[in-house]
Amino acid sequence: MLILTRKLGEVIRVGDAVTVRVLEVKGNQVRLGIEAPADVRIYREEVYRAIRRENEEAALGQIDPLAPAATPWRKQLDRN
Amino acid sequence: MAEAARQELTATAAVTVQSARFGTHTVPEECILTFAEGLVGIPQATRFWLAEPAGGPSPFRYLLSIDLPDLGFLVCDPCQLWPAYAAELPAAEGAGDVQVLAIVTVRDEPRTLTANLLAPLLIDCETRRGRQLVLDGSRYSTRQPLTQPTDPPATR
Repeated sequence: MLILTRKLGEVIRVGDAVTVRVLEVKGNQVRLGIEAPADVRIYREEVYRAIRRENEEAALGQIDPLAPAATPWRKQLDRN
Repeated sequence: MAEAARQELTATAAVTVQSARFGTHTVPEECILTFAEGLVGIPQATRFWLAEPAGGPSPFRYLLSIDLPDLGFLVCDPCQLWPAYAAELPAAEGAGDVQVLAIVTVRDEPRTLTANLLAPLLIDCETRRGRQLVLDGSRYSTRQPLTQPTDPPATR
């Protein structure tokens, strides 16, 4: 792990396109401002983990008894 | 000769997926959905197809992986089950129609169904490109209970 010390308002650059700025330090909380290209996904770690875990659990669910009929969805939207 | 040519055409325009879980299906190319980034935590699954369940209209679909044939999800249309949900999605990135789906987790003992409303799937109907969006900072849960799947829950 690379460990850097930054002051309020200072920036860390990750690669050419991503910057992380320290916006505010209050008690044990730090506010960070992140700038990155739109295709770089940025998540809070706990949110990322929760979604990954849910995806994995959903993949293990017993959906087989409801095995699909072979009728692929085409371009049309569901009409509610 | 004409028959052979037709078969060749069919062969190039469809993908056959052989799955121990879901059986063997031939998916026409125009039904393939591309998730360039995969799903969160499953980046290697980039191509899917949607299957309708047997037996009449249903709020559910199956999202089945082409790359990992035994990977499949039960999904639902969250906007149908929770009408207020659509308004909370960010404005469509493209101009066209977008299909919104939520992955449903099926748990046993007791059997429960929950929908992941925190990370819906958005599919552009024109390009058939999709991605799993994360509604960070929203009040939605990864485990919204589906008590009566055919009955939309009352207002939240």
